[in-house]
Amino acid sequence: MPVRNEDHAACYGILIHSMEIAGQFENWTSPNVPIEGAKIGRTESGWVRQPWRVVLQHGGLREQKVSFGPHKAVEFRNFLNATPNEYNRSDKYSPSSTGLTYGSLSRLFTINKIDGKAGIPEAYGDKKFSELLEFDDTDYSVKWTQDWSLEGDGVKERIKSLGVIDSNNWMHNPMTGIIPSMPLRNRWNADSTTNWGRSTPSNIYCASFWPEGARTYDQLYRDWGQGAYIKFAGEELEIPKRGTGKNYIFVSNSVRYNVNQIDPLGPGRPFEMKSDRVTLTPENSSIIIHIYQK
Amino acid sequence: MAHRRYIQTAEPYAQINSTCYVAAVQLNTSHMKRLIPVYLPEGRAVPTNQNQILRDINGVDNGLPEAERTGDVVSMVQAGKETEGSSIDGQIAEYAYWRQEHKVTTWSF
Repeated sequence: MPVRNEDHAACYGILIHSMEIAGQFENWTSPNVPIEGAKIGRTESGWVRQPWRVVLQHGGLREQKVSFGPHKAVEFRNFLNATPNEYNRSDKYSPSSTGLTYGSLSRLFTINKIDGKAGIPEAYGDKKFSELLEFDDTDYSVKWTQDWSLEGDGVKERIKSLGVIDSNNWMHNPMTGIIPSMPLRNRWNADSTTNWGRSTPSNIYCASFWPEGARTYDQLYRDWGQGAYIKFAGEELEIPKRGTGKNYIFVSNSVRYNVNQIDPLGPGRPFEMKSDRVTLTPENSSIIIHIYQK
Repeated sequence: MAHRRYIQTAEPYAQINSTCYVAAVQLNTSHMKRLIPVYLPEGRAVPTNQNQILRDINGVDNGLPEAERTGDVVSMVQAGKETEGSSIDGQIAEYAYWRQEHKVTTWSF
């Protein structure tokens, strides 16, 4: 059984499905049919909106594959001809400011085929995805592997050199709001004897956010912001409260802060941040997702 | 409020290759249709009728006894059970569903 344990937590509009996997495990992202209201432009049917979603893991590899098939050859070619900069920043893909393609965590951890390393550096921002990712034009599929390591030789330096996180290890848009309009397969193998395992077993956290009471994407993007901190082991990290309202946090690995704390902030459930500022202690590495009311 | 989820409509969307196609499926809790991958038995054309798509999704024709037809084995995704949050109403329904049993207490710092 690939899923050894699972748990679920719902609070603050944040839903987290936690799974402990042992062996091979697949999980699919199922997008909406690209119709008006779901697709991101009147003529762009290769991408659709979704509530903010991210699948966290602490270290280890993940393989992702999207198969377009011959019936969606146009969407396949559009995907391959696009660039990271175009999709992350162009207004073309975010009409009414409602959304950005790709979470920035993908920029951090996707192994690119140019230098074979994890992460897509700023310098590759204008490279086409056909140059960065593996693709197969017989079944019209695109495949890539992500390495979620935060520890190890040169990992910290590599992540800091990509141009994605700022000097306080903060980045915008870790949760994905726009996805390809074909099912995307996530695959893990929590078995260190294979090429893409590295952790036995492994925990993954499928997290999503939709503000309670909201009904449109404009409400989501107008009223809420999201970002993430990358915390490296051996370093303190200061987290300030953001925006003018509620602040929520969830993490990929346990972290501790320096004031009156009994239990660590552990993965698998959300927390509300009420302090104006906390400093996390050095012991662990973690990805810290921070959702805030603007 | 009832929280039972079931497939209301299913139709073919696109063929990927000789062993897989994508179906557009609508759950009773969401008005948006979502795309799910379905195994296509070797040598068979993509079905055009809803009944056969539902049989494929549930693995009715794959020869396994009903108890062994888990989502891992028969349908790539458990269409009626997996996350449905790729649309706004799907996310709201999924959150409400899990909140019944798995609402965690608030925790602030």
